[in-house]
Amino acid sequence: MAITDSLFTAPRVRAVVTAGYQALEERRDEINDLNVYPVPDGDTGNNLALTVRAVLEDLRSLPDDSPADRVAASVSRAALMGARGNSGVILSQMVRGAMDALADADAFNDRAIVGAFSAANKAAYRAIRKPVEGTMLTVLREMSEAADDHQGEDHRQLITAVLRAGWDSVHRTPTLLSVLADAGVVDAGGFGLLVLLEGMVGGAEGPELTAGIDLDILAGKPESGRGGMREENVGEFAYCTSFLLLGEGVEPRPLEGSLENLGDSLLVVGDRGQVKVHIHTNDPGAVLSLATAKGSLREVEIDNMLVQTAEREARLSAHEHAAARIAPLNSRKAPKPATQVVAVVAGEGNKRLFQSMGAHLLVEGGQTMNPSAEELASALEAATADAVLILPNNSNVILAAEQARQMADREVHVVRTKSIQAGIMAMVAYDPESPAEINVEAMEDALDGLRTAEVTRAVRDSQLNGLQIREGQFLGLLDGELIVAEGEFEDAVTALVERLLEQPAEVLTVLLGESELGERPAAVLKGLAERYPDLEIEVHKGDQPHYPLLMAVE
Amino acid sequence: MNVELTRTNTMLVLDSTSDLSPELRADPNIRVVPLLVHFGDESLRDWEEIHPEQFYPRLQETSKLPTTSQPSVGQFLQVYREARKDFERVYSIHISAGLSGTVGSANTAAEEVPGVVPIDSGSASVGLALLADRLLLMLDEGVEEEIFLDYIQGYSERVGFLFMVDTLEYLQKGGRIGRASRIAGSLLSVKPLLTMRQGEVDLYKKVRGERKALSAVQGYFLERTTPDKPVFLAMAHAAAPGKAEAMLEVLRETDRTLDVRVRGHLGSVIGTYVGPGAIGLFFIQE
Repeated sequence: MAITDSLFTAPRVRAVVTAGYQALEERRDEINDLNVYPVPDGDTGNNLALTVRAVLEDLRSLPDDSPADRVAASVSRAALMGARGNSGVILSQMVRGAMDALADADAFNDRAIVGAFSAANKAAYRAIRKPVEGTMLTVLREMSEAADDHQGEDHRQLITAVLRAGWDSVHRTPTLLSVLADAGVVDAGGFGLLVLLEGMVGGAEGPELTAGIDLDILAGKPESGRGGMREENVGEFAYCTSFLLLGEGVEPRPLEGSLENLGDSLLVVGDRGQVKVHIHTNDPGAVLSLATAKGSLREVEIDNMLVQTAEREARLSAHEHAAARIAPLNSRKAPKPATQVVAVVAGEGNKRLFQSMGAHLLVEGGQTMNPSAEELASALEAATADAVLILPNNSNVILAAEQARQMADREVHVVRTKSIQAGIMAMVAYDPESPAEINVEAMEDALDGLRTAEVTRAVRDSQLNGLQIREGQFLGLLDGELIVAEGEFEDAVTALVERLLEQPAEVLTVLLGESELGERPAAVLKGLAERYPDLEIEVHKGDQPHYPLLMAVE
Repeated sequence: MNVELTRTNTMLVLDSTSDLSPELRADPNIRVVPLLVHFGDESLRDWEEIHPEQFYPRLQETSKLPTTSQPSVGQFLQVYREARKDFERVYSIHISAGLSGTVGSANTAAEEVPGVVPIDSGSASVGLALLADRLLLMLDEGVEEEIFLDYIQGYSERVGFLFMVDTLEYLQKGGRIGRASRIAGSLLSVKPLLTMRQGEVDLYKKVRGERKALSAVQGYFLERTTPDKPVFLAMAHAAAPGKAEAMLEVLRETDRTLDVRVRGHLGSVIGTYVGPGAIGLFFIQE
């Protein structure tokens, strides 16, 4: 029997889903930034929003006079097809459960709502092989329990109670999952689920559905704050792989069994003939081969979660205020690293470079702001590997680094890098899976033959190395030695590079600093490229203060 | 029971990822089962319907990377049945299971055809071609099965193998990056020199710049060879003949005696995962 209640029509469902989708879109970034656990899974906000968008697009093509059961089936199917990421797939199961229940309900009333939550809950738990508490699963379960408790009440009161229970549950997720507590966040999936439901309830149905619903509880939403210190907990599997598998012989259960050993976070949902698969694996190829043997693949998506995590971290660090000068960064934790790196770095761009090469913890600092040994020591303490390398990246930091090493409770080596450039070249040789001594040796090898150059501005008149220097002149330093002072930036760079390239070099690496020189550094580099056609010039935004250009040749 | 294997009683079945030279491909004791390369809905048989000359330009034009698929069990069955008509023994030697499911199809097919021995080589590309080259030499002279099998089993451990890619992107997108994933994502351009360990891609060394890369290749080569015996060598490139030549040049500069057995192109399936500009080098001393 299908519900005949006029509430459950295509236009109405469309309006409700639109409102939910809009709410998700509005808070998408906020949800994305909560995504620290249980698994790095792309971005929860994006995944939820895109999943709901798929449902919405489907609803838009549905005739207004479609019967309720047709609407329900269409929504289920669109969610299943459009599901992205772990959170999206779980949401799609919740939707399916709810829609099955609603399609069987005879009216849109308290019983239907209780039934929908209960069915959604069951469907979601059924889809997950190893349910983790403190996630959107818990949140939905507690909402379903609240719905049970309030059955018999007016459906407005019921929804109020359910949403309140949902937010309470979201608040409690950190008590169930320590990684959330450590990061100082609530679960992104649960948070997103509440944003969606709240949007659906409080949005389009407005007067009719929300009359009498206590919207104040919506104001009681948790702060989605992020902790200062954080170390990402990235699973051991790098690729988030999802696809649809179609074919007569396609059966969810056997497929699940055969995929189980290829990774984790496995979700195999759907029915005979059409199955959606989501898995975190290190071998997407094997997963796909296995699947192709059983049916026809559609909508294959493979994302590298390590890269996603790094990108998210980069985004976070870009707008993170410097509450703590120690910004924990890296995430690449596949197997436990044998050796980690603590590096002292100034400039957002440089930080991203170090992070991209696997530096574990970055301590803010550089020419004008040298970190204390204590700051370095606390960074060392935050490392998780048994051995840590410090890259001071400045001759004024080497001693503090040595001191921190003595204070540390583990094996620490100081690689005596005297510049950011040297630090970057040392990082090229870094291999987290090699023991510390091997890394030290490889880094020192990489530094052998490295030449560095810097361009900065004189802050006062002086006389140095036989050069008369006036305030505001551009100074060129070669391997730390002042060799050039010129009134024009371009002249200083040209003269400096000439000296830098006296010995043959293959690659010139350039880090652009903060400066008021506008396009001039780029123009100078273009000139260099024309003048030295065999030289490979690699330019990065380093954003370091005071030094418009940092350069290195190997 | 120790059978003597010869050219009259033994057939080698390889898959197309072995990137055989035309001579090996035409050898009467070799059959090749092709993998498939898919550009969207179009499926092409590796080394039969699509050759490196067409593949690499197309790879650079296409916005969506091609995908590949292993041969079907049926393809293997057909080749095995055919081969068994004339040969008592069939050794079906394939790309590492860490990289492809091909040997899985071969295993299944071999269960139905007696006299077929499927083997995971733990290697890939011209590493397989070099192995086939060495095995044919044994068959020329006649060889005890035990010695023949020992050689194959020990091959992946003994063969020197380095490959250089311009970017890790293809390995990563194709899901074949293995343990080298730990160095992916670097914003700084680095030349990774990769090798294989336990059948999976792994990092040997990271350097910056072509010259440093070549000198690292030379170092690797010298560490693993001695001047007293010839070094059998196979090399292939992905649309980068100049780079291959440069690599060979730094090996020739050493005091080792080189016997270049295979020189050619990385085929479309391998190319899908390593991308244009990649060079593969395999060598072994006996």
